[in-house]
Amino acid sequence: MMNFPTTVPTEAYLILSAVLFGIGAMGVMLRKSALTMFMSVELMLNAVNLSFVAFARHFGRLDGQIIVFFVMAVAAAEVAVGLAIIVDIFRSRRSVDIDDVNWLRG
Amino acid sequence: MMFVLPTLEWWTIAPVVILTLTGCLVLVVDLFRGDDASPEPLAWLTTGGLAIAIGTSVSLWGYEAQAAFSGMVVADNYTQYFTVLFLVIVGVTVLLSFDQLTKEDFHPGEFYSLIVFSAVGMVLMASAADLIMVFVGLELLSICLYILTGFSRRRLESEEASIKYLLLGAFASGFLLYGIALVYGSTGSTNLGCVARAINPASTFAMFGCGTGSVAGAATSGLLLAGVAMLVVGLGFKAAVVPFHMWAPDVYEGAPTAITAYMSVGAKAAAFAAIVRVFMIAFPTLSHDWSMILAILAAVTMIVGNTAAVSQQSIKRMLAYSSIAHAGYILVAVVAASQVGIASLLFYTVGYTVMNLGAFMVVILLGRRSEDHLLISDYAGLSRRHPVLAGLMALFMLSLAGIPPTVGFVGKFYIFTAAVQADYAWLAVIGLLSSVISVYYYLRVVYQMYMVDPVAGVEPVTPLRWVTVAAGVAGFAVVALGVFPHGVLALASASSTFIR
Amino acid sequence: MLEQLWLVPVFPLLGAVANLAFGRQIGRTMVSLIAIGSVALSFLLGVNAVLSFMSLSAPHGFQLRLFDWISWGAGSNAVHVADIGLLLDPLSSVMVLVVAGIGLLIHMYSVGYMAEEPGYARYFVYLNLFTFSMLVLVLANNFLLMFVGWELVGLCSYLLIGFWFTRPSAAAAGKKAFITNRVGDFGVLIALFLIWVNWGTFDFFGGPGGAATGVFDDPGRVLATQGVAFAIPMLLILGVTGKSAQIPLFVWLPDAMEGPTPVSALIHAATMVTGGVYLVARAHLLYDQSPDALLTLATIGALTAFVAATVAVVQTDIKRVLAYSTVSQLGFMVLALGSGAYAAAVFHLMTHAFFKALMFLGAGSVIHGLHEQQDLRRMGGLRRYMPVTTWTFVVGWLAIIGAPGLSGFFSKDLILARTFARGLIDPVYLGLYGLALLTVGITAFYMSRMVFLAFFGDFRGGVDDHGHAVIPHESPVSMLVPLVVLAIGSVIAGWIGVPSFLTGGTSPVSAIEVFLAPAVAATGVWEGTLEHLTEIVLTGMSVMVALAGASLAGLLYLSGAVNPVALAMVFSPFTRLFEARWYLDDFYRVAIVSNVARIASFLASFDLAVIGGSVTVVVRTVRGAGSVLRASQAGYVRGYAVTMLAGAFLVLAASWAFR
Repeated sequence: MMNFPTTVPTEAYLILSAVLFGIGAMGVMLRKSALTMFMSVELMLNAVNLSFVAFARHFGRLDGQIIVFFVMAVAAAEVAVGLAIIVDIFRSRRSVDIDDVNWLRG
Repeated sequence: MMFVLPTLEWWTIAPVVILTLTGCLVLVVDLFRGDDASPEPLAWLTTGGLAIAIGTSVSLWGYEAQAAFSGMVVADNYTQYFTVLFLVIVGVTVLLSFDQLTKEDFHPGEFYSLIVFSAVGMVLMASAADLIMVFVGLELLSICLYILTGFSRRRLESEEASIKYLLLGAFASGFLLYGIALVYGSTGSTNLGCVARAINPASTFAMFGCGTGSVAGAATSGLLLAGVAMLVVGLGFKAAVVPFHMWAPDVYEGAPTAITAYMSVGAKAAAFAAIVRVFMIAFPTLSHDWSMILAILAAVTMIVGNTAAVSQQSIKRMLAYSSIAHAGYILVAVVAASQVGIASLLFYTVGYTVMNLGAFMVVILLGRRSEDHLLISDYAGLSRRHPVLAGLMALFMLSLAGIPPTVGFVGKFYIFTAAVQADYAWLAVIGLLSSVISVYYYLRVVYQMYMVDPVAGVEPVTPLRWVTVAAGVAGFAVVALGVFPHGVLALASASSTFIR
Repeated sequence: MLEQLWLVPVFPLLGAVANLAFGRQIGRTMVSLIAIGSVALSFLLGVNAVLSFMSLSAPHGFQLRLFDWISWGAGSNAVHVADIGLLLDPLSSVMVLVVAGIGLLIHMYSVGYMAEEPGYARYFVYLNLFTFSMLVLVLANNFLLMFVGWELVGLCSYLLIGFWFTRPSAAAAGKKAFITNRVGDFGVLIALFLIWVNWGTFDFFGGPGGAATGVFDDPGRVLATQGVAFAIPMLLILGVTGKSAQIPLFVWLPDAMEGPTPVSALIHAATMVTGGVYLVARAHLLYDQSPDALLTLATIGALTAFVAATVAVVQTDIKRVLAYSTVSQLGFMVLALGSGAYAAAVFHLMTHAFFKALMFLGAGSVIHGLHEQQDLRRMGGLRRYMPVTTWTFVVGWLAIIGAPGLSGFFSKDLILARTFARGLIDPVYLGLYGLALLTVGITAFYMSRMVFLAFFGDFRGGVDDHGHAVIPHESPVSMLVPLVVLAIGSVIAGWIGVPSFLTGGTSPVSAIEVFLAPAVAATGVWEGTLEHLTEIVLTGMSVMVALAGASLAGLLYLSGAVNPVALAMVFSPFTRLFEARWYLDDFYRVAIVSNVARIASFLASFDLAVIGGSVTVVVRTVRGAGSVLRASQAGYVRGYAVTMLAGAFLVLAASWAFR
C-alpha cells in the first residue's frame, strides 16, 4: 500500500499560489471581456490569500490567516464597485468588450 | 478562558475617527433631504468635519511617536504633517467641485461621503505601521477614487476612465498584496518594525509597535527580494511611476476636473507617504538592493513624463504627464534615503500640491461650461480676457517648471541637493535635463496666453469668486514658499526625524 | 519700541500692495491717503526707533533677527545662509530718517504734481515699493538681504524712469539705466560670492540666532588669501560706480531725468543713488584693509565731481543741470569715502538729500508752472510769478555752493578738510584736494548761472512751441509745503556737523562724526586731524573760490557785463568738450556699443546656426520621442496591463541583478 505524505509541504502551496497568480495575470491580459478580466483579478487576490494561509501555517501563527479576512473584505468591496461600473458600461455601450473602451488615449 | 483585550489608543487615530463619523453623518443627513435640495449644507458639513479633523491633527503635533492598535498604526509628526496636507487638499477639492456638482446633477451626499472616506484611506496610509494597514488604506482610497472618477455619468469618457482605473488598479493591488505575502513569508511579520528587525536584528524601531520578543522567520533573501520588487510595483502604480503609469493620463483626462486635481496631488502624496514608510523603516538595510532600482525608475519616470507631455494638446493630459514627471522628482528624494532627502520630499509634496492645485483651479475656472475649453490652444489670448487668471496660470506654470523665485525651484533645489549628497549626482543631472524639457511645454501655455491672439468665439467666463480667491492664495503661497521656504522646511525636518 | 523696527519697511510695502490691489477702484484721494499714510507711519516709527536706539548702549547697533530665510540640511550638516533681519546702528539711523523723511515729503509733493496724470495709482505703488526697498537696503543685517534691497531699488528706478513708457525716450532711458546698473550689480554679486567663500556667512555682525562671527567681526580674514582683500572692495566699487553714478558708469543718470520730477528728486538725487555711498560706508572695514582700493575710490570720486561739474556748466535743461550736479556731489561723497572720511561722506549724503531734493522739487514746480517747459533759455524772471518756489530755491542754491552757515557749507568743508588731512600723509590726496577745490568754484558758477537764468532777469518764454501764450503760475500748496520744509532742512541740517573750532569745543571732530563713530569710524591710521588754524584757512579758501564762481556767473548772466556767448567762443575747445559730455557717451558708442553690437551680431549668427540648430535637433528629437510615447499609449487596457507586467518582471530582474 502506498503511503501518502501526511503533510503537504509549504512549498507546494506556494507554487500553487504562484501558478494561480500567473493564471490570473494572464487572464487580465488575454481576455477581452471586462467581466472576465475582473474575475481574473479576483483570482490573483485569492492566490495571494493562499500564500498567506500557507505561511501562517508554516510559522504556526494566526496573523496570516487574519490578514486573509481583511483581503476578503476589501475584495468584496472592490467587486461591488467593479460590477456596478461594468453594468454602467454595459448600459451605455451595450458591450463589455474592453477593447471598445479606448476613446481616451495618447 | 481569559481574553486579554488589546489596549486601544483611540487618540492616535482621532482624525480618522472624526472623518469616518463625518462621512457617515453626511450619508445620514442626505437621506432626509429632497432630490433637488442644494448641496450647500452638505458641503458645509463636510468642511466642518474636515476643519475639526485638521484641528485635532494639529493638536497631536509634537508628541513622541506612539504606535497603537497592536502595532497597526503610528502617530508621529510625519503622520500629522501628511494628515493636515491631505485634509487641506480634500477641503480645496470640495470647493473646486461645487460648481460641477450643481451643474451636472452629481448626487452630493455620495460625492461628499466618498471623498471623505478616501481621505480616511490616505490618512491611514500615512499612519500605517503595518503592511496590511498600507494595503487597507490604499484600497479604501482607490475604491472611492474608482467611483469618483466615474462620477460624471453623462460623459462616456468619465465612465471609461473609471473602468480603466478599476481594472488596472485592482491588477496592481494584486501585485502589492503578493509582495506583502512574500515579505510576510520571508520575515514572519507584516509590521514594519518587525520586518526591519528580521532583516537586521540590530535595527530598533520600537515605536512601530513591534514587541521585544523574537520574530518568527529569518529573512530568506530570494523571497524577500521578490516581495520588495512586488511592493515597488504596487506602490509605484499608485504614485504613477513609469512603467506603471499608463493609467494616469487616461484617468486624469476622463475624470471630473476637480477629481483629477484631487488625484494628482492627494493620491500621489499618499502613495509617497506609504513608500517612504515602507522603504525607510522596513527595508533600510536592503537599500543597496532597492535604491538603484528606484533610481532607475525615477530617471525613466522623469524622462518619459516630460517627453510625453511635450506632444499633448489637452491641458488635463499635459498636466497628467507633468504629474508623472513630478512623481519622478519626488522619487529622487526617496532614493537619496537620508533625513535631508525625506525632509525635502515632504517640502516638495507641499510645494507641488500648491502649484498643481493652483493650475487646476485655473483650468476649472476656464472649463466651466462642463468639460470643454480644455485644449491648450483654448488658452490663446487669455491675458487679454482674464489678465489675473492668466497671470496666476503663468506663475503656476513657471513654478512647475522650477523657475525661481517660486516654490518649484526651491523644492527641486533641495531634492537635487539631497541626491548629490547621497552620491546620486547622475540622477540629479538627469532630473535637471528633463526639467529643461518641461520648460518647453509649461511655457507653451504661457506663450498661448500672452503671445497668441484670442480665438474668436471663445467667450469670457465669469470666474467663481471663491475659486478665484483660492487661486490667488495658491499664487501667493507659490511665491511666499519660494522666497521664504524655511517655515515649511522646519516642519518637514521635524517630521522626518524617525529616519536615522 | 525697537522690537517694532520691522514695521518701518513693512508699512510702505502694505501701502504698495493695497494700492496695487484696489488702486483703480478706490479713487485718487484714497490712493494718496494710503500711500502718504503708510510712509508717514513708517517715518514716525523710524524716528521712534532711532530715539530709542540713541538711549541704548549697543556696540554694533541693535540687531533684530526676524526669521530664518535660507538654510538647508539638518543636524550636523545644517547650513545657515541668511536670515531676514534688521540692523539699526548710527549709520542706518541716518539713512532711515533721510529715506523715510524725504520720502514722505516727496509723496506729499507728488499728489499735486501728478494730479493730472493717468496711472496715478501705479505711480504711488512704485513709489511705496521704492520706499520699502530702500529701507530694506539700509536696514538689512546681512549682505544678501541688502543685495535684495539693492536690486529692488534698481527695479523701482527702472519702472519709474520709464513711467511714461509710451514715450520712446523714457523707455530708452529706463533701459539704459537698467543695463548700466547690471554691470555694477555684476561686481557686487561676485563680491558677495567672495564674501561667502571667505567668511562662510553673509551676516554683518555675529550674534545669537545667526553666525557666531560676522564679516565685520573679523574683517582681517581676507588678508589670509592673496588678492581677496583688494578684489572685494574693487568689485564693490564697480557696484558703486553703477548705483551712485560715478565714472565710468555715470552716463545713465542724466537720461534718468525722463522720469517724473519728484522721482528724480527722491530716487535720482536724495536716496537711491546714495546707495553706493551707503554700501562703502557699511563695508568700510573691508576698505580699511586695502589702501589701493581707497585711493581708486578717491580718484574716481574727485574726477567724477570735476567732470560732471564742467558738463553742468553748458546744460540748458534745468533738470539736466541738476542731474550733473547730483553726479558731481556724489563724486564729493565718494572722494570722502576714498579719503577714509566715511562720516563726512554720510554727513554730506544727508545734507545733499535736503538741498538737492529741494532744488529738484523747485525745478518741478517751475516746470509745472510753465506747462512742461524745462529749457532755461525760455525762463527768466520767475521770482515775480513764483515767489515761494524762487526763495526756497535760492536757499537750496546757497546751500549747495557752500554759503557759510548753511548745510552744504559744513558738509563740503568737512570733506575738503579730511581730504587735505589725508594729503598730509599721502601726497596724491593733495592733488585730489586741489581738483575738489576747483570743482567747488565750478559748482558755484553753474548753480548761480541756473538760478540767475531761471528766476532773475526778464521772462523769455512768453509763447510756447504751439504759439500759445504762457503765463507762469505758482504751484498748489501741497507742492509748496514740502519745499518750505526742505528749505528749512537745507539751512539747519548742517548744524549737527559744525566743526569744533567754530563752537569752541576741544574735540577734533564734529558732533555728527562723534555720533557716527561707532558705525563708521575709520580704523586708526587714515583719518588725520588738523590744527584749528589750518581748518580756518581751508574754509576761507573754499568760500573764496565759491564766491569767485558765483561772481563770474553774476557778471555773465545777471548784470550782463560780459557776453556769455562771446566767452564761450573764446573757450570753444572747452565748451565743445563739455557739451559733448567729455565724449564719454560717444566713447561708449564707438568703443563699446558698436563693438558689442558687432560681437553680438556674430554671436547671433552663431546662435542661430549652431545653438539654434542643435536646439532644433533636440526639440525635434524630444517631439519625436513624445509622439512615439503618445502612440504607445493606445488606450487599450490590456496593453497597459502588459506594460505593467513587463515592468514588474524588469524590476524583479533588476532586483536580482543588483542583489
